[in-house]
Order: sequence, then structure tokens, then C-alpha cells
Amino acid sequence: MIEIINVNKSYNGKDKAVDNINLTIRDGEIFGFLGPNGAGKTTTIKMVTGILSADSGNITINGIDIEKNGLEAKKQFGFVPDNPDMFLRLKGIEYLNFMADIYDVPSKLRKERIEALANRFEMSNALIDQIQSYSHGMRQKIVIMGALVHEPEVWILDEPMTGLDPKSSYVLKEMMREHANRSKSVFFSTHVLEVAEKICDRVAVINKGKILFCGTLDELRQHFKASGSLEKIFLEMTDNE
Amino acid sequence: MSKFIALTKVLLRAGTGSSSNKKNKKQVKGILLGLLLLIAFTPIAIEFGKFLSVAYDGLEGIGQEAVILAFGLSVVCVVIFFFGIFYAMGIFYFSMDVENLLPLPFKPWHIMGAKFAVVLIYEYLTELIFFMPTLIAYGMKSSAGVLYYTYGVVIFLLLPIVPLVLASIINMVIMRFTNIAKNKDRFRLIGGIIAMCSGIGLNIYVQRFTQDINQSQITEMFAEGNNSLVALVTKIFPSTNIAVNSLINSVNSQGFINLILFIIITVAALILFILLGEALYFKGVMGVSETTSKRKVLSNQELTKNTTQNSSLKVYLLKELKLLFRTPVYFMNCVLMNFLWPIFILVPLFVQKGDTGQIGEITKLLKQGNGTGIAIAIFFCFIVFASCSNGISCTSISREGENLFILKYIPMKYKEQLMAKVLSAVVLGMVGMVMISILGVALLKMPLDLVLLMIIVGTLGILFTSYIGIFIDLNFPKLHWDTEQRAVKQNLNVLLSMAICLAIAGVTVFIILKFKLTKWAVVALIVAVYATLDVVLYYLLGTKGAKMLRKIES
Repeated sequence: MIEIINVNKSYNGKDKAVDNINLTIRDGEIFGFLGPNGAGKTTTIKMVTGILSADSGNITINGIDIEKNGLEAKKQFGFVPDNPDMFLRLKGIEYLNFMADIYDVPSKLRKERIEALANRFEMSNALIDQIQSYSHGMRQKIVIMGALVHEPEVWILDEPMTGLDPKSSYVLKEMMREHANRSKSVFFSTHVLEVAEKICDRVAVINKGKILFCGTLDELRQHFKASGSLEKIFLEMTDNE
Repeated sequence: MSKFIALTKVLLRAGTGSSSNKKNKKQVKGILLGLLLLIAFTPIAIEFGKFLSVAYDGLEGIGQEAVILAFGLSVVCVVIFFFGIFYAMGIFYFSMDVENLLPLPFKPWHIMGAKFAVVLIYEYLTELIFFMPTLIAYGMKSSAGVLYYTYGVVIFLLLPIVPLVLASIINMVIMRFTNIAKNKDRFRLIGGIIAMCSGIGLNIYVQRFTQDINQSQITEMFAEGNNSLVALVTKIFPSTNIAVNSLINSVNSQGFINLILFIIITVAALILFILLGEALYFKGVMGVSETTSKRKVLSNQELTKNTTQNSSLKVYLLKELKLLFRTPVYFMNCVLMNFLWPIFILVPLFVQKGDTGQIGEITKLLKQGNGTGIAIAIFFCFIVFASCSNGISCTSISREGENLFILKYIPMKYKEQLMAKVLSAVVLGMVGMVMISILGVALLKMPLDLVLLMIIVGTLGILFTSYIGIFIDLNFPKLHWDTEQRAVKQNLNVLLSMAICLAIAGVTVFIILKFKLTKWAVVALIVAVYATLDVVLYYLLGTKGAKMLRKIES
């Protein structure tokens, strides 16, 4: 569970990137975070993960405050950043082992998990190579694997589908659903509306730092009394701001 | 031509990174940093100027005063050539922007030329330190006229071109032929080492060459007067001879002819550079970031071996070291530099032909009672110099670049992460130190107990420079870079760290020399002072350092 309460963030002391937002991502749900480019999605995610600190407000993950007890809070989640170009000179397996060490995963468990994840994402034959030699999609997959190697309770994924081929994208969505079914939570950002439509239990729409809507997709349609496509609703919402 | 100019502008701007937020605060910090460096280097420049002035008077007596200019120009050319090998490799081949430039409709010389211009501008900074004082001191002492200074400006602007072209050509040839290899990273490393060896080789060649001229010949040249020694000193880079002649004859037509000749040579070098660039550059740079992949499934055994559990500190340290060794630019600038100093120092000792005079002297000195204290102090100073100039610690935050955010979301204490970075510098520094010690035992027959003491004080020195380095980087992290080169080479932190560490080590050695301390007093002093400093810095790293890292938002 993630709770974001009255959180603000501005850059340079004036441009408000995030404007007093409140969100709760409950256990057992896949929560989609929608919004156009530059709406404040990544800034919010960076505050939730401890990369940026909020100007004011509170963020807790499974009840643990990210500011006050950062170390414990960080152990609760697995995070996939929006750009997978990291640790390029490490081999895939070295990166995974690095992450497993950082999250204190015992040897036997990590081996099983790495094998299982590699099979699922069809990465078994790439683990021995440097991440630099991977395609964009493969880099995305190795970063996802690294985020999941400690089997975190909460998944936080920033644009996770970018660059994934249809098969991997399908596998990831399937895994997100399985995770939510085990009453754990998934919080992910996207601007691909079809993805949100297919798998999200609830969504929040953010634009210019403000939450415009938070609820289920059906509620979204009711709210706007529209039977049109999600795309149309989305465009109207974010345009009128 | 317009494309070349446009590209040069963009590359220069990318280097200064003027588009960041929090501009005011950063500008203030930048100005402060500049001031600090200025304060640190001004005394050196003044001392240097004084030295030149005294040397001028001495040399004028025997009619050899132009040797000062010749020497200044030669040194600047050697320095530019040597560092040019690194610069050219990093900027022409390993910078990440190359891949973005290749698809654009540029001719090879547009890209090479623009990058060359950027390197050239950085070399002017080198000239400011190594050449400007000489030029001005000579001008003032010889009460030279306007023409001298006009020629001086032209030569100042053109001087780095010939050595840079030479360095670039060495790189182009090597890169053209290592590009055919399968494992590119590794071959490029080997290429880099070859390039550097050719630099050192040239150095040795020159030293041998100058020693081939025997004593009586030099005495003869001295006696001749009329600046005859200039020819000898400028043998390293023939074009410098012409430049010197142009400067010292600025009052007559000889000076003008020589200046024109110098310009012609420089232009010829540029044309050669462009022609070779057109022929070799694209073939060498295409696929520069390709890496080999085996695409092989790990066997069960291999997987078990690769998934053993380590402490987070150890795995983090290993990660730092792996990245240092595997990233060519970091390897060349940080790791290799660390091991090069012993070679730099020892080469002149051993290229001497005939007797081993100097080595014998040193060995004798080490056997004497009062020599050992000084030897330990010098060793300590040398180790401090080597470990702060490798830049491992003072670029360790900068090297993270845009990926700094990773430090923030992993559940590892900032203190431990910083400590792992410090340790990576300590480990490499110590390997270098042990290497020097082994050489010392083997070649100078240093007694083992002395070596042991040296290693103890050296370790404390390395810890000290590493802590100072990381604090500097926490203060001035350079995170917005597009090429790894910028993170380590065009990073003022290295200079700042050298200035601070050398100043402190210098004071230590000064005290030791001044009070003629004995061996044990030297050891006691260094251990007491630096152990205390190291403990304090360790404590500060966990409190203040962690807070500073937390505040850095990329």
C-alpha cells in the first residue's frame, strides 16, 4: 500500500511540478497513473521512491514513511525507472546479483528467482553478456528483473511497457495481475491508454501537477457522462486545464 | 564551413552545461571554485615567474636567455601531446554524442574538426598555466616591443595544433585498426595503452637523444652564446624552434619569416589532419559502442557461482571497480594514470646510459640514518600526489551522471555507499603504492622495514586524499555530461583535490625538512596527524557527507 498525502514539489521555488496531491494505492490493486508528458508523473514517482524529497506532505509505503525511515521504506518496493540505460558495463547476471546483495536476498533464493524470471522474459541466454550489448527492450527487461529479484510487496514502475515487444509486454501485464491477486499493490505510470484500460483496477489522471481524477475506469466514464473512447475523455480532460 | 561552426558551437555549449536549474546557486559555487583554484595556483605562478626572472639573468650572462622560451614552448608541446592522446581518444571515439552525430549529414571533417576545436580550446587553458608565464616573463625581462607580444598571441593560438594533430593521428591509426576486432572495448583499451606507450617511448627517445650529446659538446654550445642551445631544447618538437626564432627576432625580418613559416607548418598539419580524418575517422568510429555478446545460457554451476551472496558494501565496491576497469575512458584516466606515475618517475632514472649514478646515490642515501626520514616524507608526498591525481574519489559522484538517482532508491545507507566509493579509490591507490614499493625494493634495494613504514604512512595518505576527494565531489558534482570524458577529465574537481591535498602534504613535508626530523619522528608525526584527520573525515562522511548526497538532486 502506498499513501501520498498533501504532497507538494516545486522546482526553482516557483514552477509547481506537483500541486498538493493525495493518492492511496491499496493492497491488491493495479493502479495506473496517467497524464500527458511533463504532467508530474515521474516527479511523483521520484518522491515516492525517495529520489526526490517532497517540499511538504507525507508519503508512506506499507505504513513506513519514506522521509523518516527511508531504508526500511525502500526495502518495501521494487522500482523500475523510466530509462533503463543503467549499469551498462555490468553483465546481466552481475547486475541482478548486485541488486540481490543490496536487498539481502539469500543465495539459494536469488538463484531460483533469477532462473524463473529469466525464463519468463526469455533472457536466459543474455545474462552472461554486458547490458551494453542489449537492445532497449532487453535492457528494460533486465531492469524489471532486478527490481523484482527481492520479491517486493509493492511494485513501482515508471513507463514499464516502453520498448517491450508484445510478448514481454504481455508477460509483464500477466505478472502484474498475479501480483495484485496475491493482495499486493502495483503502481505504474503510463501514457498508453490501452494498457491502462486493459489492466488497471483504478487510475489517477494528473495534469500540470494536479490530480484531475482518481477512481475506476467506469467511474471515469460516468464522471464525464461519456460513452466515447478513453482517449477522447483523456484528451478533453487534459486540454481543458 | 557553416556546418563546422554550428557543430563547434553546440559541442562547446554542451560542455559548459549552461541550461541547468538552480542557476544562481550553481553559479555562485562555480565562481567560488574558480576563486579557490586561483588562490591555490597564484603562489605557484608567482614563484614560477620569480624563478624565470632569476634564470633569465643567469642565462643572459652566457647569451642563452632564449632557452627559457625554448624550454617553455617545448614543455607545453610535450604536455599537450601527451594529454592530447587521452583527450583525442575520449572525445573523438568514446564520447556518446558520436552516435548521435553519425546519422546527421556531416562530413567526417566536420565532426573531427568541431571536436578538434573543442579540445583546442581546452588546451589553451593548459597553455595559460605552462606557457603564458614564460611568454610574459621573457617579454618583460627583454623589454620586448609590441611586435613580440603580437607574435606571442599568434603563437599562443597556434602552438597546440601541431602536437594535437600528432596525438590525433596516432589515435586515428590505432582506432582504424582495432575497430576490426570482435571485443571492441578490450581492443580499444589495448589501443589506448599502445598510444600511451608511444607517448612514453617518445619521451624516452628524447631523453636518450639529448644524452647522446656529450658533455663537451654542450659546453661548446654554451660557450658559443647567441642562443645556440635553443636548437637543442626544441629538438622534441621541431616546429617550436621556428616559433622561438620568430619571438626572439621579433624586431627584425627573421622573426616575421619564421612566424610565416610557423603558420605554414601549422596549416599543413591541419590539412594533413583533415585528409587523414576523411580517410580514417568514420571507419574507426562506426560501431564504436558495439559490444560482443555470447548469448549463451549459463549452466547450473555457472549460475550458482554467479549468485553467491556478498555484503552490500563489498558488492558495491566491486561494482565501482568493475565500472572503472571496463569503461575505457575511466580506465585510461583513472586506473592507468594511477600506475603511470611510477613509470614517469622511474623512466628518467633508468634511461641514463652508462653508469647508474643517480640510483647509486639514492641507494646510498637510504642506507644513511638521516636520509630515511626524508625518504619517508618524500614517499608520503609522492603517494598523496599519485592518489589525488588519479581522480577516482573526486569524480566518483560525478561519474554517476544522470544515473545518480539509483543511489537514492536502493535501500543502502548513504554512508555505506560513499564509503564503498572511497574504498574503491583506496584499493587502487594501495595497489599502485605496493607496485612502487616492489620496484623500490627491487631497484633501489630499499630495506624492508623502511618499506613497511612507508606503506603505513602511504595508506594513511591515500585514505586522506580519498576522503577529501569525495567531499569535493559532493560539493561540486558534475552530473550533466554527455560523454564520460567530461565526467573525469574536464572536471575541475581533480585540480581542486590536487591543490588541497598537495598543499596539506606540502606543509607536512616542509615541517619535516625544516626541523630535520629523524625517521621515527617523521613516522610518528604523519601517523598521529593523518590518522586523526582520517578518523574525523570518516565521521564527517557519515553525517555531513550523507546529508550532502541526500541534497543533490539531478
